[in-house]
Amino acid sequence: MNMMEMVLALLATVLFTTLSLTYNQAVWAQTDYLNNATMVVQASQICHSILDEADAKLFSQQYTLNDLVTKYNYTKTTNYSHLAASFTVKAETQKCDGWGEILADQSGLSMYRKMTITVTGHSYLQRPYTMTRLFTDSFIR
Amino acid sequence: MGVLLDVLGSVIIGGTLLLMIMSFNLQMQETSSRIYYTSSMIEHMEEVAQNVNHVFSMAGIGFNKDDQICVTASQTAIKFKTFWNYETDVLDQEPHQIEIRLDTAPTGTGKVLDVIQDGIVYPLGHILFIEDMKLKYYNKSDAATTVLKDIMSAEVLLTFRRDSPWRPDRPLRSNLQLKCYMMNRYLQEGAWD
Repeated sequence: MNMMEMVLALLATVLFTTLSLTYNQAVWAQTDYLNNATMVVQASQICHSILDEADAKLFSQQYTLNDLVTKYNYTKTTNYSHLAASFTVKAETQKCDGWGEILADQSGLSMYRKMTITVTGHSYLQRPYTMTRLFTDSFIR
Repeated sequence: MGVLLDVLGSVIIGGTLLLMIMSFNLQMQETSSRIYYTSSMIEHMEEVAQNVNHVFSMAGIGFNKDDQICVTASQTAIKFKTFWNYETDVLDQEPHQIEIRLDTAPTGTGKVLDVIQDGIVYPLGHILFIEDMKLKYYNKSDAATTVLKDIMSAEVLLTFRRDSPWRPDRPLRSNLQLKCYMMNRYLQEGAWD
């Protein structure tokens, strides 16, 4: 085998290694997207469950609108045994106006509360998943 | 002899490359099938979560807060009373008994989650590709309970399963954990009258 043949063989090896790596990378990326999508569904359910809990407790008058600010401002890591996974859930609740704009002066009066739930913490979840709901007091009794 | 070795070498290298390409193609087909199946499963999971949440939220409509809404509640099934009609999605004059139950009889598409109204499974009452469902019940204070009268919410642990298009021995499984609130019971608790 002369020098030219050796170079050609080397180039062929490099070409096919690159092809193989590119292909494998694409497959991994697709798998990551799917894993991420599965986790997004779960993260969305976590957000829903917390927002629905707040709704339910307001309906039953176990909480008042003011309680939302004191009870739903936390960051905690919860283990979801069925998924064998942990998620970090951050809840933020603040007074806001009817358009959802946070009030600069939180000590002022407002009949709206904006609750934002952010779920992070699982390696498959590529970006934090956030869901927001606006709560208001109804005078229809 | 040298030429023969060259030819043999190129045949081996060419054959290896051909095998690589063929294996790439097969893997590509399998991956795309898995992606298709999994992505449709993800959509299905989202729809099931919405459906189950919706059914739970309608429990106890038209009943007083002191009435016992739940008729039965086990790890794999819950039956409750409501004036809401699952089939038509409107309120009726007569009460109904609605049951969410895991049908354990194996079918070609896996086990089925049935939503049964007054003993009848309506066409939209079959939720497919469910392998397992576990229910845990909670009272108004979020403490676990098995007392029928106290049930206000439930944690629903779902396992979805779909056979892999290429490897039936390696099915695609996804777990989902959600909490469903009987919103109408909470409304009644608040004495909104």
